[in-house]
Amino acid sequence: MARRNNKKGYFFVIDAFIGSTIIFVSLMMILNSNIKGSQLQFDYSMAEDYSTFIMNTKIQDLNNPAIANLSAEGLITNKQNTVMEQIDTFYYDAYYVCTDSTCANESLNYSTRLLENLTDSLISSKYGFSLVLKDTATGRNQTIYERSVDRLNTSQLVIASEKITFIQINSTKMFGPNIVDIKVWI
Amino acid sequence: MHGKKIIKKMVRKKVVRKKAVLFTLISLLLAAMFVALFSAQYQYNPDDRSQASNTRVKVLDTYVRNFELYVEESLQISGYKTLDSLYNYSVGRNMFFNNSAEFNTTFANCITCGYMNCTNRTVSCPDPLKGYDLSSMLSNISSLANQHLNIVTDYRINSVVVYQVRPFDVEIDLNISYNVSDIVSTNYAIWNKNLLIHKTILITDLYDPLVAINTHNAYRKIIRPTSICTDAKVNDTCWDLNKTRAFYNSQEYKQYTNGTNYLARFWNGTGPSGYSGIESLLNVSYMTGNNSFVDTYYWTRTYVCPPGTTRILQINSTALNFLLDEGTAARYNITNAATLICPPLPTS
Repeated sequence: MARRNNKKGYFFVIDAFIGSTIIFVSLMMILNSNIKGSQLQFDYSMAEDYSTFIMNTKIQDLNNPAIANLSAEGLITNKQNTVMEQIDTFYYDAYYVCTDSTCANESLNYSTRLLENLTDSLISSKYGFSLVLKDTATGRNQTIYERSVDRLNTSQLVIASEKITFIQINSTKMFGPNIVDIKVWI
Repeated sequence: MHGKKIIKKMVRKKVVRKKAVLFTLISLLLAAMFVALFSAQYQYNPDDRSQASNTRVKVLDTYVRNFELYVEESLQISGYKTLDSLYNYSVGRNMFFNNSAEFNTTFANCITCGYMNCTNRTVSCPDPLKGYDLSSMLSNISSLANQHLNIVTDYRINSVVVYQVRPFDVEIDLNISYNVSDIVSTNYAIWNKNLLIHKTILITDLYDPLVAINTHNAYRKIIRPTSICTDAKVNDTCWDLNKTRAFYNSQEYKQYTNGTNYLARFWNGTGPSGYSGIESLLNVSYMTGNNSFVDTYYWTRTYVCPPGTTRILQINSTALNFLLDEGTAARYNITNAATLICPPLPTS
């Protein structure tokens, strides 16, 4: 009789084990299915998030060596400007204030320095990147900074974000509205 | 009997088997319930499809913020250019506005649409306003948003009010309504807002209409605040002969509560404007007669001699043949350096 009861006990143990395995496996499947697809979403939102960042973040709120150097050199005079407004200012100086090409190139280099430093620390090197300022008054498309351009034509995914940018120069002048075109590709 | 025993054994075995898979059955039921529950929830969960909508709403939201900032900055530029335009308009016809109401209406029309009358749009406001009125400036950003971002912007300027409370600033209040939506579908989001914007405009480097119109544009004075004795606005105790000479030579303006403010000079206002009042000393080259060379006094002939008992003093150490009324000379603390020229002293 005792041997018979022991045998019945095995059935229950095996049953409980199978049951718990079923619950465990089904829960794992459900939970894994809910996490899927975040990578693509991240790619899509990255260009938009980055453009929002440079449009809204003020220079004074950034602790960055490139910004500190540009400020120390007296090239950034208004720290209330956002990053994009500062890029606008450098561009405006290059094409509307500078009277020679040396001055213009230097001013454009400052904007590249600023953007390169911020971008490389924010966007992983596996992504290609470009920021083009489209001057609506002259029709000029000025690339401020780009990287991994060679991969652009063969990339699997290119995400673009366009925004309107402008800056008030003084009480009678405004530069813009212009278009800033940001592309991120992988 | 043997057969019955066999049947009983079989029945017992089945019961045992059923009991043995009880947990498995329960777990299967639970698993099925979980799957049903989670799959139902997954349908309502934001998924990849809603990501595009979220991004689109973000684009619209950023644009709306930019649009409001653009309206503010446009108001400042447009306001400054409108004042300059109305100066050119007044000087061009060599006439003051009839009163403050006429000036305010013309200002509101010019800044809104670039025309003297926004309803019939026949006479445009003079340069430098062309292309800088609010409608033109706002159409720049709205057409750009339409072409590049597929965003539709409708706006209506409800009112523009201009006034002055400080000597070298003009205040502008703008009431604007706007509607921002997606060009393809209005399902994403719509911004329908009424905005009140206040902007202060520095009048530095604008011309004084009072001086230009009264001299048929022969004498043009640029409004620039002086840096002399700016801390002694009320009692003027810091003034002396050297400072008065420097103030005269600079042809700048100072705050003076009994002076007429900048806006009132458009309609030949001559009364005191309180804290927003300004005054300057006129260049002797353009002035004649025994009259005080303080700008608002000169053309109102408040202090002229003769007739009356007004005492006019000549202060050659400020400028040759420079004349002031006795009260103003006392305010600038230069009475000691002055010579009374009118009325003439009785001969003994």
